[in-house]
Amino acid sequence: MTYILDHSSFVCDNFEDEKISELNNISVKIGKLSLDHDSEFFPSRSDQKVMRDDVKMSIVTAQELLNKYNFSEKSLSNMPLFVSNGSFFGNFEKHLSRVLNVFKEATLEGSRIEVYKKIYRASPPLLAIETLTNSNMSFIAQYAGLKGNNATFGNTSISTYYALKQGVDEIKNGENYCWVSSSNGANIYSHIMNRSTSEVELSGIENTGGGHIILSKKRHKDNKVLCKITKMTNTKKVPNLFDKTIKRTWNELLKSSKSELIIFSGAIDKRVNYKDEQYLKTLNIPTISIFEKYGFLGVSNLIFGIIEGIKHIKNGVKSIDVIDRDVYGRESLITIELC
Amino acid sequence: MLKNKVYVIEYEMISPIALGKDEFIESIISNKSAERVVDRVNTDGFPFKKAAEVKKDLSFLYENEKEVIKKASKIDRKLELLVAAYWKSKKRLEPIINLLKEEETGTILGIGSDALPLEFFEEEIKKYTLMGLNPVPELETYLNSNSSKVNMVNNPYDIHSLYLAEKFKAGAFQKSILTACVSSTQAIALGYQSILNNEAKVVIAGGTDSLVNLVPLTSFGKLGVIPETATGTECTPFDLNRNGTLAGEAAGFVILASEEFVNQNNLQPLGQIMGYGNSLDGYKITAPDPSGISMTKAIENALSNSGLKSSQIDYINAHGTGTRHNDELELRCIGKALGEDAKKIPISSTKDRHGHAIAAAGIQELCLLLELMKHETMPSNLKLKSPCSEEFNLLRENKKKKITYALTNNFAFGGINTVLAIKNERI
Repeated sequence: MTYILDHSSFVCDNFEDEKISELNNISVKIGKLSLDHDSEFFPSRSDQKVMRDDVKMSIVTAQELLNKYNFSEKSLSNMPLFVSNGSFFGNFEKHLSRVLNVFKEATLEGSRIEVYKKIYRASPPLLAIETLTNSNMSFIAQYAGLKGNNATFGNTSISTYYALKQGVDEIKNGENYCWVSSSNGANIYSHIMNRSTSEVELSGIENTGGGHIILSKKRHKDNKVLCKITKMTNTKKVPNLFDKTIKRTWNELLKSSKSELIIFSGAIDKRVNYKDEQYLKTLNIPTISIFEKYGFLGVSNLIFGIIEGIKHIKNGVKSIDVIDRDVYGRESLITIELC
Repeated sequence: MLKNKVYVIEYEMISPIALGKDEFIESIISNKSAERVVDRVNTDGFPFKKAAEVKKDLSFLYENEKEVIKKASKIDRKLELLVAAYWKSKKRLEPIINLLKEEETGTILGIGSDALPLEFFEEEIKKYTLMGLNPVPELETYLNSNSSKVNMVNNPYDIHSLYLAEKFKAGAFQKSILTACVSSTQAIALGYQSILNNEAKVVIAGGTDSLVNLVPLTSFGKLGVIPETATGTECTPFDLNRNGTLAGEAAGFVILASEEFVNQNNLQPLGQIMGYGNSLDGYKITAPDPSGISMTKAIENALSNSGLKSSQIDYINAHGTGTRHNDELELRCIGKALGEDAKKIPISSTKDRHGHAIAAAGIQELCLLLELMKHETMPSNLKLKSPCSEEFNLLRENKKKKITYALTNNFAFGGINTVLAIKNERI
């Protein structure tokens, strides 16, 4: 059996409109993260230079969670760590503004050597590190001391299902604990990435948020675990890359479900969320929308779904299905139960 | 209890030294190096001029592909390399594809960081900037306005594993691994693991990446990973005078299958994934842990997980990037993990030939290793003049020798260490 020992998370509650295209009049609401600079766990100044904001808060919340337990150094150095990550551009314009200015000032007929010399000079030396796709995982390892089997999955929301599945399999294969994290950085580039996959002209709400879950093989001492994971499944069909229509098939994953509550995510837009809600209504089980609470959290959809579920388990709900659909229409289900 | 076996039943590769796996061995024997002046990016004003680039126009390989994929491939080099690798092998793989069941087949690919090829859009960027607009979002929005889920630029990274999933009818999962230089090595390791975990019976595992793009090239140069020399990059793994790597690009995949699938379909395995080791340094994002504790552990775990003894290893295909940070440390960790045997085992890095393909490094080097096993050949460290250590058997010349068991190492920025143990099944 795989139990959830504990979790921690961060999310934004302050949204701002960001213009994506003046020419096409496209904007998106983006969650703006407030950084907890006063935290004793805030990363060192030198590391901050190459961290995206979501990674900084991920490191703070990872250490807050770790600090509650007395894992030995040896146990941490063997603990598996599976991470899912969303967009990797924190502030593209900031980093590349000097390069873009070279293009602006260059005459197309002028000497290419001079232009490219200037481009090289203007290129930021730390961009490769800041946009490093495993940055969150490597910093968790550095600050929390986790050094075992690992991977960073990305970058649509099903990645967190894969990371959790990998973690649950590690527990089945004999590990005592496994750490699973997600970090979603919302910005105009994550929205450009996602918008072409949508069946409707998006008026999106994207949010930055992330979290950590410690999976455990046994109930921790004092019998302290939050819930158990009793089922994990996903659609076993190849998504159609050339058709934007959403085909909701959650009912197939939920076929034999006896859960009292469904927590769902997947929509980037209110209208899509409404349609999801209407579809799930036919199942006659109470539902909660993660989109309605937080906006689109990308790879963090499922982590926040589970954390929301745990709140309801604490209030006596016995079984909850946490479901998600990624931007390519891949659906997943995780059932958590009271224990 | 005996572990189930996971076999490699097919593989394909597009590499700067081989347009398809069948070209690998000739390149190795003739000591071909792909290090040339870059064509795709204007490096005239850069302090380095060369990289390992696939020089041939690949579009002839995928002329029958859907228009939207062809258009996207012209901009997204990672997608183009992968599409080319699939079409290169399509006909040969058809009998295997016909055996696959959608719910029992998965894809898992290591993917490199995305970067808009700014160099293709100089005129547009200038135009938008002069109009007072934010040029990159305007450009990306314009380029991506089409009716399919395939973006021309800035696709979700999963597009690659989904592309192969469509070709192989792989419905069980389509995963993307984003761990820099070990991405495809981990994809192979986790593909192997997912077969052992009964998540799938067949997994198409591999990766794609290209550093031959303005932003990655300049960032790696500025970071000091590519030597800033006017004459060339001079990537010399394990040499005392090494000072950087050779930027590369590649894409490829292996088809991994369970023992049951192989037996049921009477297939001839080509190799076997015996096991893997995978660890994190937890040290610094910019440099490997100089103590090498985790790197050593990854090598040790690859051996113990495979049930192999160090004395059984015939050859090590090293990560050997040619950077100051990596090579000496890698040798030290091989020494610690394999003890006295480490001194006898032939070791080489092939990155001075095909370059460092970052997320596709692992798959390129595994495909190459399978060809080396087939042709009983061990490649030399092509540009090695003054070895950084005399204690190890760093190959100075290509050698004709049988390889039954081998290790292939990859290590990544951010301190990730992944090692695969491979068995030759053609013997």
